Amino acid sequence: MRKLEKLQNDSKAKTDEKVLLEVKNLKKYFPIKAGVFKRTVGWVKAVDDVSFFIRKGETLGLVGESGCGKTTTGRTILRLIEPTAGSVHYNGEDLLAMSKRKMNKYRTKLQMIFQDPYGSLDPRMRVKDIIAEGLKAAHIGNRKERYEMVKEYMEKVGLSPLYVNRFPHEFSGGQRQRIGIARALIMNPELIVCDEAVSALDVSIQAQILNLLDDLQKEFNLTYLFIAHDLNVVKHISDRIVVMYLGKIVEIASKHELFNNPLHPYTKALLSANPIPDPTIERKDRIILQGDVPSPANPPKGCRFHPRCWLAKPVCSEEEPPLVEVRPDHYVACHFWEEMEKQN
Amino acid sequence: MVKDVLLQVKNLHTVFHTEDGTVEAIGGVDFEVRQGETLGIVGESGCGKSVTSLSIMRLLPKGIGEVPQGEVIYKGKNLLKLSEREMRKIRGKEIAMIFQEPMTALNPVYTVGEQLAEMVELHLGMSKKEAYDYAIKMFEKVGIPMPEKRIYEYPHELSGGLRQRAMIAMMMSCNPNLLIADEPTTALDVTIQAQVLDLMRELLKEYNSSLIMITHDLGVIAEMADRVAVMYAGRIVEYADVVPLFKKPSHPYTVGLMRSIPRPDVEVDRLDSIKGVVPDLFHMPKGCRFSNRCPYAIDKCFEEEPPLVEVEPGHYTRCWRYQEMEELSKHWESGEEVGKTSK
Repeated sequence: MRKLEKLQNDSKAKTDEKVLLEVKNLKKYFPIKAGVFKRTVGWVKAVDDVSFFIRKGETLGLVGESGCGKTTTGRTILRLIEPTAGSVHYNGEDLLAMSKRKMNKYRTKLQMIFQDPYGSLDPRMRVKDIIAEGLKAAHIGNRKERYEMVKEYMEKVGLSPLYVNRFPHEFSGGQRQRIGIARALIMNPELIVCDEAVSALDVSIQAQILNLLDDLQKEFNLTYLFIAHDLNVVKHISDRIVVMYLGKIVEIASKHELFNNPLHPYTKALLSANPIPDPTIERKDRIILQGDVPSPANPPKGCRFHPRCWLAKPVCSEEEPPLVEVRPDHYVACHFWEEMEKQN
Repeated sequence: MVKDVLLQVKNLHTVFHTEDGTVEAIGGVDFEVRQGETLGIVGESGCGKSVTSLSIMRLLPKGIGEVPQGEVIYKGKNLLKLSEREMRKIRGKEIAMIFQEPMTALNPVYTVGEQLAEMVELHLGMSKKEAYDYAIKMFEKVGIPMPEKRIYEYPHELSGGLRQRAMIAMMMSCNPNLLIADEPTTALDVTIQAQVLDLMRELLKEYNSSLIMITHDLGVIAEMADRVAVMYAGRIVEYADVVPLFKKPSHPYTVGLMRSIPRPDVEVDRLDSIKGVVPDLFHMPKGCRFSNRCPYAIDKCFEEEPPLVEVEPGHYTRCWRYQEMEELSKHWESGEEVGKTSK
């Protein structure tokens, strides 16, 4: 059962896969409006110059705390929110430069699973209509064919096809999340953005859904962008992990590298704050960060993490460290990553 | 050294009168909390862990929730038999409660300082001036920066972490003997959670207070609790010290819970999961309440509900097959056809 070596080989094999999606210098600024005339008085830099790529068939985890911009990143990639600047190349074509019409054709390939299994399903629609809605919008099949497909995909996600005529409220949280997965899967997508897809579920149900996502990935050769705040869940499902802090990427690495050799102080603090379900482990090395996450409307100058960082030196408050590849496939944005490596 | 028992809950039953009839939310819960100790209550949504705390505090919604049976003995007195007036003296002063979402537990139209001052004026008989000075002191103690300014702020002006700190300051202000924390860090980010748990640990030590920590997070339990009660569908299914519970779980539900969480320290190819979903209160299985999801269930489990038995000194479990559990728990059948079971 504990196939650590096999897993490591798996992730190695995937580094040869081609890049499916490449995000470059993505920015999303939300205006802050005030006064009678709703003048823009400032900008919330929710996503501020973010670049990363996803290889075909891999799961890229995106972690960070609330307000770090992880959800905005996911939604901007699918153009559910229009970005301020940047590019998203999917199979070589820039999604952000496309006309809406052309983008709609691509939407079948790029699907999303949402966090809230209660809010993301229309309570007045039957399950069959919810799952078939995307097909209908994309003019795929006739009514009868769509109905057959719905039943087929319900079975694939572990729902009885007998329930096609039921309404969302008749299902439990885990079953609703399965409906959301069937709705995404039926479009035959290549990439699925899972935005906190298991956070609202109880742990025993969470495991069911994580296993389902894993099975479906193998069966349909899916690529996932898995957005979550739970480090353990992200570690379990991902091949590589992106860590965000206040609208910026601070570190990208394979999950083993990230957990064993975190090179950004924020990553290290995040990992050490993560409670381990084992009462015999003493956490002597725990790093307790001081203070709160600053507001993204007024982020600190220089490195955004410097007011909470125990390694911070004067340069950190002046110069923003760029994200650089310091080891093969390991990117970090810190002036003093070498010092971190020594500490590890 | 055995510490004094501070709170003892005996055979507690809570029922809710709903439009569809009366349901039993918790049925026969027993546990005790010793001075200076932390009891963790862990379970998934709907298992009755929050109802247990509300029943102890007598905060169940009037006319809907009711405790028909059981005793809650605090310092020799049965809290369930006290008059509302006597109970009010205990709430806040002797037993204080911290809620999951500080935004809804705090009053939005009063400043946080006013709310803390009100408590100490009432319970400790301080004057307004003294109460405000005391509020500043308490805010400082829980690590709120610039307390003399912060006490004049409203709850919405504070961040989630600071709000929970303000809440803790308020709860600790009357130096309670027992704190009940219902998912106190669930709404917080992990780095803020670490801060808050650290603070709670320090304060408990300083005041020698006891804590009932209600959570669904086994990681938090492992870090905070001395003793743990695992609840499932209104019952305590396992009750033990924290180390034996994690090392030698003897109820299939506990085994399943531990196997279904992804762990940072162990790598697995595939998670184990517990098949099916928690039964709703109107359709509880006959016999053991976990029987329909249990991979080890035998005929007897579907017929008769097992009692809570002591497997080792201080380690209790509610399972017919507890003697075989060590052997059984080596294998776990997740039952992947889960989605097809009707609800």
